[in-house]
Amino acid sequence: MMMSFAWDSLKNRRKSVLLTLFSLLISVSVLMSVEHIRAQAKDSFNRTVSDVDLIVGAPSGQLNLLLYSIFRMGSPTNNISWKSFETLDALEQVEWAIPISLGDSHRGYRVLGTSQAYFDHFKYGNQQPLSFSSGEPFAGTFEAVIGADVAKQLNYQVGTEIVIAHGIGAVSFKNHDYAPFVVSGVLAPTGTPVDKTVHVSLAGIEAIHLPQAALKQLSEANAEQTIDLTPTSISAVLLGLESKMMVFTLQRSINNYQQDRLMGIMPGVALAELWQLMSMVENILIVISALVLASSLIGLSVMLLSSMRERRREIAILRVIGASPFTVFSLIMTEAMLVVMISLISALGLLTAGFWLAGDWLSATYGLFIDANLFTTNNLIIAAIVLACAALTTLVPAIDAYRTALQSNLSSDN
Amino acid sequence: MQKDAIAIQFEDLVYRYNKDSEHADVAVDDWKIHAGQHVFLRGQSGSGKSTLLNLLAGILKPDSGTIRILGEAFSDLSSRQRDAYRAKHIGVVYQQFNLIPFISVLKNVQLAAHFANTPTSQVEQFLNALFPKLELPLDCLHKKASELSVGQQQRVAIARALANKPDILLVDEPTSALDASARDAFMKVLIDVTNKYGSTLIFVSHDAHLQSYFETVIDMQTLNTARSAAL
Repeated sequence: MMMSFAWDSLKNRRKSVLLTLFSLLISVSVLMSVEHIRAQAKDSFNRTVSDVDLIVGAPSGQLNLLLYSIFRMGSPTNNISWKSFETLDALEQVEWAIPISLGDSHRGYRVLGTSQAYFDHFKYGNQQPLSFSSGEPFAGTFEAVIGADVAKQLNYQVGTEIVIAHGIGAVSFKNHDYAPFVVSGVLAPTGTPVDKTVHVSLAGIEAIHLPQAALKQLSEANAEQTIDLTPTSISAVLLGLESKMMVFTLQRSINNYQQDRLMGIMPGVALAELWQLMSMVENILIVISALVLASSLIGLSVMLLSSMRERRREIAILRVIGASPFTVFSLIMTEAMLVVMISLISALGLLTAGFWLAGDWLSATYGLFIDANLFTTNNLIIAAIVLACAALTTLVPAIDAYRTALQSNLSSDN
Repeated sequence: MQKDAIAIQFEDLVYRYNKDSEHADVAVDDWKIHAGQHVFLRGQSGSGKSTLLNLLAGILKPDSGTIRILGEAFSDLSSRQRDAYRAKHIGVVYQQFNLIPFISVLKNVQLAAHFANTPTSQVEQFLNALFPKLELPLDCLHKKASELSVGQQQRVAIARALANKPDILLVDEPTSALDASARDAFMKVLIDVTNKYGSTLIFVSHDAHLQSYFETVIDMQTLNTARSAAL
């Protein structure tokens, strides 16, 4: 009964209630989305690479190397020689080595030159290996394996012919028309940048950079033996070691390697550095959204407090029909809790819809894979904190109402 | 309810607004009202009648002395108990602002029933039977209270009070917002239904014209010994 009365009372003041509701909705949404993106981004970044012990590239910053080799962001500053790769691969501590060659694109998707080792040893998430949803790894020079998103967005399947452009823009005027690639396999979705990558062999990368005449000759004759397609340099190498104990020793010897300028990084350490960098931004965002929330809660309290004047009569009537001052107090609390509950539920609904709709765009533009399920422990904790803070700020108008109720008299003129 | 039973009894009641003052605002030494009696309490504004009503409704607590309702020392109860007692046993009708404007007439009565712990489900049936007697159209049951005229609202307030089968009905200056013909109609309806339900009626007004409807007429000035002592 009191619940339905509180509801009617809110409806009676729907304008100010709606505005308050909106302000709460916005602040709760901001707070929850900051927290959700933070948790999800961390999760999505951490699951991008698994089981790789060292990443080796040309000396630059370790973040730079991590970003281009794993997240396909930015460009390699320099290459390492093919000889270095062969040396690394031959080391007895090294169980496997995946070469990576970057710098080309297909309709905005990065092209990655690699070897069969990529499909055998690259792992993501919780040590999950890559798997094919259809087709198989590339065998020839002009075969490509595409990620799940590439297949989905461009509507490609096994057998589709694609053209690879030089450079990494979405639109390139310098298409390598003479070298059409055929999709030989499509990878199952991983929720990592692998989904947005076109994988070709290192020979394929070399082929598209041949002079046009040589390329023409190559594709027409289809005689790969005539031209040597062994690369001279690659962008980076991912290493898996026989024993984790050797990581530090090997890292030191790679950094001191005399024949080529090399830098070896540990992905875990680089990721931690990345998060350290982000945590400051994160904290600032959380503080700002907490402040926005505080101001909306004060707004709620002000709305209820300013309604108290016009509600004197209403409270007097409630007293006459037998409501105790405490009933009046809990009525105000109920109203505030209703408003906050509605804003929490609509914020969750809004954000779920928002992340669901923006999911593709976020993953395409920022490489962030955000789960649209917002009902996480963190968000439920936020909801509980918001309710508790709302109850605290509503004490002000509720106590005011209690006082009004205590003093209200049965007189004709009130 | 027997006609001779004492419904309300005042014993040496004193009330002061200013607790430090020696001077009492309302003092009633001894006053008995029988069950089912209709009392007209006449007094000008400032004579202490509103204070007396607040004391009777249990909203104010006397500084000394006792008010007994149906033998129980009502004024000695805790404020919570008085609130609950008021919900169940005392109905109040004002000059205006009787109803909560933004909810329906039915909900207004249901809300009162809720506080009196009477089942709200029977309210609609009860009102359907009572409204014709109060000359209220049945279709106003689902209208918002603010859509009714002041006179209609007062009659709904009577219905709201009666829905809880109150022992005592307090009516405060109900006719001052009504014109002459509406006033007479209201009085007739009020006396009829209170007779029918056997409620004790205390009717407060400064309008001496209305006293012909009542068997007992009491002047506030004679009742309130604090005033006469001061004068």
